[in-house]
Amino acid sequence: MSLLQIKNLSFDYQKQTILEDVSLGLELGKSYALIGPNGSGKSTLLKCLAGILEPQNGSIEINGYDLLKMEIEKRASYISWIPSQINSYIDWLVIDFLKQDLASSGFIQKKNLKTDIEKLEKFCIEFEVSHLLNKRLSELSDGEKQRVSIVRGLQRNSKIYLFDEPSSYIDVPHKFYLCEYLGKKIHKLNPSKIVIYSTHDIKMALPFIDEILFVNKKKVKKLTLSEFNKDIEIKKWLGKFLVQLL
Amino acid sequence: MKKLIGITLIGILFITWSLTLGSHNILMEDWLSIFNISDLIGIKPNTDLSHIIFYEIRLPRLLIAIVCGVALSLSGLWMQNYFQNPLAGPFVLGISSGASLGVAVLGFLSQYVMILGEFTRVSAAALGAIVVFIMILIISKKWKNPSSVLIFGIMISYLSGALITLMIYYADSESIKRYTLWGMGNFESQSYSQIFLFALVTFIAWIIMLKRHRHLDNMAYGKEYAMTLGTNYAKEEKWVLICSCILAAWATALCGPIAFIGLMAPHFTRMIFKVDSNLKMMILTPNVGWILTVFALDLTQAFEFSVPINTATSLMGAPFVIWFLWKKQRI
Repeated sequence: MSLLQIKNLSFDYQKQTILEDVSLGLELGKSYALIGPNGSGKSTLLKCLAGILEPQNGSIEINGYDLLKMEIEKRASYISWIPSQINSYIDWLVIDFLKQDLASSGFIQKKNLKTDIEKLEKFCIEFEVSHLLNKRLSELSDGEKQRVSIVRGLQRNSKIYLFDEPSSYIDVPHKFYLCEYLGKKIHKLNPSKIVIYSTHDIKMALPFIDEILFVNKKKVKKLTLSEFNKDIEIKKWLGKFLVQLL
Repeated sequence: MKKLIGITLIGILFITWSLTLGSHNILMEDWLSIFNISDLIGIKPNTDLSHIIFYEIRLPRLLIAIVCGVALSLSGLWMQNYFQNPLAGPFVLGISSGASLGVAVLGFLSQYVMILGEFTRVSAAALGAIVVFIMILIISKKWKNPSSVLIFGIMISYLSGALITLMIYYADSESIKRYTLWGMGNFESQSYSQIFLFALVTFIAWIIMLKRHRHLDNMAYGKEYAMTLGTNYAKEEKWVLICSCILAAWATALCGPIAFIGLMAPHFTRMIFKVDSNLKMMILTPNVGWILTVFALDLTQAFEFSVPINTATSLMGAPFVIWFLWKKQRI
């Protein structure tokens, strides 16, 4: 049974159609890589799912609840969305930045605080950001900041994790680790989560993910790995470089 | 904590200083009579000159300066956070200019129609500020980018500046003088009831925002990320704008457009205390704000000749902004 049901979703921006009549069913315990050309609407789709953008048409349902009609606070308890760079006017200490969601009683209960902090510490070790905890955000490099942002996104107890190009700034070993984590490890900890992340590092992502969401020409296509190899549109987009991916 | 005690002591020093400053020299024995309890509750009416000067000039002057400092610094803090721009403040957003325009229009009209009283001036300033405020509210809804809204505010300042100049050009000398004096900022001649009302409004706005401190923190990430953290941006944005604009408008209406306090206080607070969250900032910033304002008040009285408030705040503020930008460039 699919948990996240997207039905006839259309999104226009300034009279230009970005996504048209998109219907998808996404399942619990699976990871999806969102790929496609620049400007095809990957970020737009993620923002629609996160409730940031309001689609002109269609519905998004989680567990049968309509996401678009849901209260913002409740939606935040279902979804964790992480942009490729989080910018803040406030120059937080990394530790305070990471603990911000823990403290807000809105979606994490106080009694879980201790286990949540332990979980956060584990994430910090896994993504090697422990040594950054006492720095300020402005002192971090782009890659470090992105790793910290990923940790912040992961430590939230959400059902759906949406990452917008999470690997764009980070170095190769961390990139591999991230792809492995988002594809496999995350489901071992808790099998009832969905991960969708957009990426251009297709080669790194492919071995770990369950299915591919290909965004192209206002449409989104769900492909399994074997379908991906044979798909005509993919071939057309990647051209002679497709061989190098496989 | 040590730092907080430190700046509070400095503040008390400034307060004491401000009470002794002025053309009349209050002697030692007068001080004793001023703080005499029986006088305070009015058993024995005291007609002593020092007594009158203290209770009718210096104390209200000090109190309004303190409330103004608190209000303007809070307004600046919320605006900077909302616009994610360190240079935002009541002055920059055009709120003060709107109020100035209101007062100028009133002054201009008073040449032709009889308009009386302090209260009309306050209402005119409030009206001007509210008009700009509503425009900013509408614009901020249509224009997604907070920086554009900031530029809109600056343009409003220019526009109202031009209109004011036009009116001054055709006004008689008496109303020009009155307007100019108000425009220089003024803590004089406020009634206790007015001060109390302003303090009450400031306190209510502070409480409202204190309850929303997490949303303020979230808003500092910008609209998109804030929404996914559970902040109802459209709703919270209104609260921020309403509270910060009301405080700025009220302060301007009573005391004239006072420059730079709203802009400087949050930065000084961050520099001194190294705090980040809005919860802590909202407790510390007002303290820095009133100390700065009382210091500016002291400066206006400290010399043989008196200096307008805006001269004092601008003498502190303008170099501060330049220094602040200089520091930013090097990073």
